Amino acid sequence: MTILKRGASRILLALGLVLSLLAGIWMSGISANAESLDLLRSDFRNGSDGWTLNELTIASSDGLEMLPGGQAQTVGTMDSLLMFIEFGSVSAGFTLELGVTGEGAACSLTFDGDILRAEGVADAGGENSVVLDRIIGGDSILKVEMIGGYIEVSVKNADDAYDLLGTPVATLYFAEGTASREGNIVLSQPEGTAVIRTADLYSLSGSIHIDTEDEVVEPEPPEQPETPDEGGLAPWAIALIVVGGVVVVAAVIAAVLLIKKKKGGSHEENH
Amino acid sequence: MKKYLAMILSLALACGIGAAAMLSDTERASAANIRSLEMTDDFESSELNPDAWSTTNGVNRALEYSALRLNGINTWGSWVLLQKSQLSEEWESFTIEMEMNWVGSPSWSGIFFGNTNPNGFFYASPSSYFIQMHAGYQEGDEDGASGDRGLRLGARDVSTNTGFFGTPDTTEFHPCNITTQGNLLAEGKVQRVIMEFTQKPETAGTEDVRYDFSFTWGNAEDDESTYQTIVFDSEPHGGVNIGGYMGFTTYGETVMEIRSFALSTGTGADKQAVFEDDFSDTTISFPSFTSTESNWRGVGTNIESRTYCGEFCTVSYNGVANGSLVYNVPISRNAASLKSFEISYDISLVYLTQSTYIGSGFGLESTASDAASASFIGLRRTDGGYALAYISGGKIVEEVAVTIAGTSITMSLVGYSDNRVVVTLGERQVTFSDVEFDGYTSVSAVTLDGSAAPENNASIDNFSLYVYSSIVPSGNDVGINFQGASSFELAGEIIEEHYVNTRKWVMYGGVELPMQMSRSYVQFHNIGGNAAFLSRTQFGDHIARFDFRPSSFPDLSDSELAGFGYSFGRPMADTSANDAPGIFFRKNGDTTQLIAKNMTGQSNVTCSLNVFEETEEDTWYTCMIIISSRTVKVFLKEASAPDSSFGAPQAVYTDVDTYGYAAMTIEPTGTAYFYATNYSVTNIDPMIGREV
Repeated sequence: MTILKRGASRILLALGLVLSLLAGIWMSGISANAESLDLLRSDFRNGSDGWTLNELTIASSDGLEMLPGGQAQTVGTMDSLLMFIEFGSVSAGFTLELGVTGEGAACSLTFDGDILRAEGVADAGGENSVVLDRIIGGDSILKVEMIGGYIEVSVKNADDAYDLLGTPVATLYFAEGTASREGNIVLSQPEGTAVIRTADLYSLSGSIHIDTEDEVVEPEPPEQPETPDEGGLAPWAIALIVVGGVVVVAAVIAAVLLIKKKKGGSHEENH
Repeated sequence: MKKYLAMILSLALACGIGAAAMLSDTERASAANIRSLEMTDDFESSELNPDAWSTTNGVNRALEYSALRLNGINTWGSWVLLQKSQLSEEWESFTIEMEMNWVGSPSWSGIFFGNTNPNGFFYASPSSYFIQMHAGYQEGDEDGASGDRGLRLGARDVSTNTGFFGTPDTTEFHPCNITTQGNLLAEGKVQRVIMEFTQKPETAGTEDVRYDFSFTWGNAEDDESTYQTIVFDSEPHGGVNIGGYMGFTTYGETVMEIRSFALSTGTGADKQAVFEDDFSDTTISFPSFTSTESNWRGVGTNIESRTYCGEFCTVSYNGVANGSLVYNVPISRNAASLKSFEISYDISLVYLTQSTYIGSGFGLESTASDAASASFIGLRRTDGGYALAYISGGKIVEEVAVTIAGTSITMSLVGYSDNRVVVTLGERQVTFSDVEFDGYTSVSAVTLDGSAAPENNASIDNFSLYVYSSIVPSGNDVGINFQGASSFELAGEIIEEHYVNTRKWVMYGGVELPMQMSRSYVQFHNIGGNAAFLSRTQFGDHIARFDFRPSSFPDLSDSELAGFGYSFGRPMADTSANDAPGIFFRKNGDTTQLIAKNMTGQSNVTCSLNVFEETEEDTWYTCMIIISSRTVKVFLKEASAPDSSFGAPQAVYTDVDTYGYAAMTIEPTGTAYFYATNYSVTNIDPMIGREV
């Protein structure tokens, strides 16, 4: 009986882990193509799928804790892109590198207070350092749009309206004859700490992968006796019923085991 | 025991995460912000709508005047005629007297005579005449060309079948600065117009009875001796035919009011009334409910919204020191949107006093609250002009002098999420900070010392309130490459045809898939009107991409060809492309014009590529539209070119309502000839998966 219980517990634990893994992958929305990404939606509070963490870990349920010396790099690559990074807490500078290949980064942006220092790109006046109207702080959203020869940077702070993400705080340009390029995206923290909750990356390529959808002819269902309700259940309802059933079964098992444990304890005391 | 509990908890957690993942796919929160009309009221109904408004301290609706108003008809073939009494050629003389008023910046207005059929278009009636009162385009134009300032009399030219102003010009033109001489066609002062018609004796008893006539006008409140008169008695017409119906029309957005109308036989002091109307209790019918009994008749393309007949009312603050018109639904700051509300109304300045402000109350706790003790922004008269003040808690926080011309002004107030309120009065903008506007809003009279203000007779009119709200779109990413196939058996053979999943996509208005399986695109070929291909889901912020090219089209003029493009923010799946934001590629000679609809920005941009250029091999083009945070960017390149050739956006539009259905579609203005494929929509809302 003990062996049976241990076996059942291991099966259930494995099932739980598999479900967790599947759910995590489902929510991350990773493109099927690991090389060139169409999009990558990452919620670091639930994992770091799609990213390679170097000397960084998901330290808490707050998200990805950025520390000096560590970096997070996308597994896949993008060229032109639109990205949104949502921060938790921010204590100091933060660096974003785009188009990272073996030859280095096409450009990098370091946000340090109200100063944006850029490499590989410069503002319309040729300056690599830009003073920002809005700085990245706790609960900020950073929007970066890179397409062709320019980069637009927008920031929404905690109390700002979302519409402000449509108003750039900086516009930077690649030097004449250069442009964005296909490469990884790398996040790093030169000093201090920052917590990144989410990072949503969207390719601005002219074409993205579209699945061909052929008509799938469902096989004729076997004849069933007519029932009064032919409406059927929606997938979400089925999912809820399954989840509810599993939870109820788990609760019953727990209750039975608890009762047995208590009974066993009393028996020992009686002895 | 701990082991079992851990196991159960991990299982429950796994199930919970799985369920959350399943549900999150359909319940994404979003920050798509839309502007919607909350309330509009011109106060013309018989009483204030009690569901919408509460009033305090004697504020109430007041009758200002009655009129027949041609309300910016802005469409071809729309006019109003006097149905009750035709003009008779048996009259030796007759007089038409009117009080008229123009609102805004009119272009031209017209009066026609001699229309024999009430439903016939006066423009096509062979015996009709038309007098055009034209505000003109440029100072000093006096050569009689169309568009010049003055009065023009034209006759229907039967010989050339070209209407009133054909080539050669056969109109009798009298140049005059009608905007300054007596102020005809100028806003603000009601004009009295007297038209006297006298039969030409030599035409009496003939089949071609003609009349000379004079046109006299001046400020209604001034003595008639100051009026201007123009006599129409010269060639080429040598008088006018008047038998039949007479009526009015306007051009473009011109708003013309007739406040009184009197038709009499005879002229001068020797007149006998035939028909009179002060429009206080008159009748008008329209094509949708034609009546031969009504005094007036809207004809052709005229509809109720284009012509109003009856009382014009305002909300009066006569004698009110502190009183309010309160909107019954509170408004609140929307942190997710840059703007929270837009309020607009007209203030009559004539009776505005120095002691009482007229303006908007905010943050009222109830519909009975005093605006002065909450937040209030209002206008008062000063010695040299006007002053706009922000008053909070009964004290002036800030007051600025403003210069206003005219007898009324439209006051617009825009509330932002950072509690700024920007007030626009004409071309002047004033910003007030830290205005608390969560609560009821009002239009109020505020007198700071609380004394009675019996001399105050201010009024407001034409109120509108727009609010900004945040929407939760259901739009998951979608894409279609038109390569999908379905098959069926016919006479023992397996036949393949293109397949589109109609649970995901909608196709209407003649949009088709080609017969040939080798052609992986959708056709907008040889169709007009409203036609579209779209997803069944709605989007806010998104990236749309599609490849397209013109199909073969016949030798049509550019204006006969409809443009192809992308329409979004559509409240309904079948909303017309004319009624939603959108961009369209339209042929214009050797260039391609990018036409924008319902968006702020350049409405017409010449593209860097000409998609209509004939090439040896049919060239496909890729259009990518980035719609983010109420900003729309349009990119275009040859499909085979690298992404770097997108370059800078072809056009950028701002402050666009983006939430709704999104479609590849055509302009409903001509015939379209296009193919399109590789259509995808990616939801990029920054709040995906988060609560607003």
